[in-house]
Amino acid sequence: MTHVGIGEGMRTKGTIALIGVFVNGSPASPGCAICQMNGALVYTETTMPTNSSRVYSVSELITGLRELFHQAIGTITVQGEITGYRTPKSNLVYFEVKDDSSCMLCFALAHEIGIQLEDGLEVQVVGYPSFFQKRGSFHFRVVEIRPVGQGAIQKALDALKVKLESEGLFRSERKRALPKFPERVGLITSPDAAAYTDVLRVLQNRWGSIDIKFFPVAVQGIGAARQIVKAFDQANSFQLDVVILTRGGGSLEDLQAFNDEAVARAVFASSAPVVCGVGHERDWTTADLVADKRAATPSNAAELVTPDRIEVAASIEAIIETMEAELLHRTAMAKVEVDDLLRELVGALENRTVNVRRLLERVDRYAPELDRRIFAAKQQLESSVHGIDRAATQLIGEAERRLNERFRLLRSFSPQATLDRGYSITRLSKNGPLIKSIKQLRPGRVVTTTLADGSFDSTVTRPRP
Amino acid sequence: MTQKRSNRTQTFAQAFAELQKITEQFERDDFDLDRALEEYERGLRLAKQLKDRLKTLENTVEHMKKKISAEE
Repeated sequence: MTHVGIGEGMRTKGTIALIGVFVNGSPASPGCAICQMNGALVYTETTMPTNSSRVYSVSELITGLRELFHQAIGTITVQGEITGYRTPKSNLVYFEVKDDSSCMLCFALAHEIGIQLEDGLEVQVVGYPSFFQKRGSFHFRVVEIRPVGQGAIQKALDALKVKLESEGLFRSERKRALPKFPERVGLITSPDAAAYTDVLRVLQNRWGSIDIKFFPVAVQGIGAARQIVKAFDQANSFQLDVVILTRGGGSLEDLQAFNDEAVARAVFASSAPVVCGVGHERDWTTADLVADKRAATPSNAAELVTPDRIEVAASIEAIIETMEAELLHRTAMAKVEVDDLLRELVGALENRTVNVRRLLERVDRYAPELDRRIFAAKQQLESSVHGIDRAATQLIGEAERRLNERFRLLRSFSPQATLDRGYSITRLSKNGPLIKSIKQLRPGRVVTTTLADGSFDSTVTRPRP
Repeated sequence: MTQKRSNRTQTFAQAFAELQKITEQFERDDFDLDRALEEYERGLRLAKQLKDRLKTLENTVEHMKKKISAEE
């Protein structure tokens, strides 16, 4: 007959009273009485039909107890303060977790614990009760540790932030601008995380032909920080336009690598600007603080490093429209200038002709008697007058022909034709942008409207969408 | 790497910057109309090139060797 009891003091969600029955060296499930009760685990004693003459080996008993405890209680969470933290071998971690009245030995493997432990740290240990096979002593087999509240980790992190800040690693003046159109992007994250696929998907959606250099790293756990630092070393040997360091959200322990001093310094020393994005975190990690740009999520990090192809296409259209509007404006101005010049030219030529005619009339009037004597001269004069007339007509004709050519040229690309049909162009100011949306207008806004033959200003009273 | 880069044809960023520069010229008062026409045509060509490039959808992902974990 064996009875197993668990003392008060172990708090679990649905508390269990356990009675283990040990038959023939292994837990006898049918005889194992488990009763659930509210409150603390209670000590129970059961008398079982057992083979009292059977002699068990010690290892049979210990193995059985291990299996029994593991199966009956399963994985639970226990809260207490760490004391007696020690690592006799590099991969073996021992410590006690205590409260005011009790103390329990805990055992874990170093690589399973993502945080630095120290005495006095209030923690929740996740694991199951067990027994050492060799010595048969009870312990709690820890598989995960979470610090509770403002524990030592938070304190250490705060101290690190103060240190890095005093060294100027967070200064806004040293933050570098991100490239507008990146061609080579470094990506440092875990290939297993959703962050990885999120970043690639957003990059793909927003922009094309990016050469992405992916540096796979662990983003949490033992060695994650070292891997990230090495990834930055590697990334620095490429001429990258920007580097994304990212992971999904997590607890403070999960984010240890992103709060690591060496990682902060690697981000600072990166030859390309760094965008750091930790998923859905309210608190900034030190990597966020040092990075040239902090993103709210992995997807957001990808958005920050790429323009949106639709927006870029729209801005290209806008540039072309601005150019066309300017061209229209300039051709209209040129037309006015050419008109003025032609009027001047025609006027000057007409004056010349009139003057020569008057001179001729005078000659006719005052010197009829000299006709014969100056007949030859007159003939010569007349012929030159005709010449001047012809030349004038020719010049005017030529000028008009050139003007018409110019008009045709201008009209071929000018929206003037559209204006001639009665349309108008309205701008925010004389040479300002075109008004294409009612959203650009506010009451009281003075706008300039260009018609085919001139322009006027007007004031907006009631814009109606 | 540097060499490969400089040998490439104009990057998107360069072409876009050039287009913006052309537009800035249009906004200057002393910009000659004959040149305006030329620049307008050049601008249209650049815009078309840029829009064509926007149609390139695929990104390439190169996995860098993870030497790190082997050293752990």
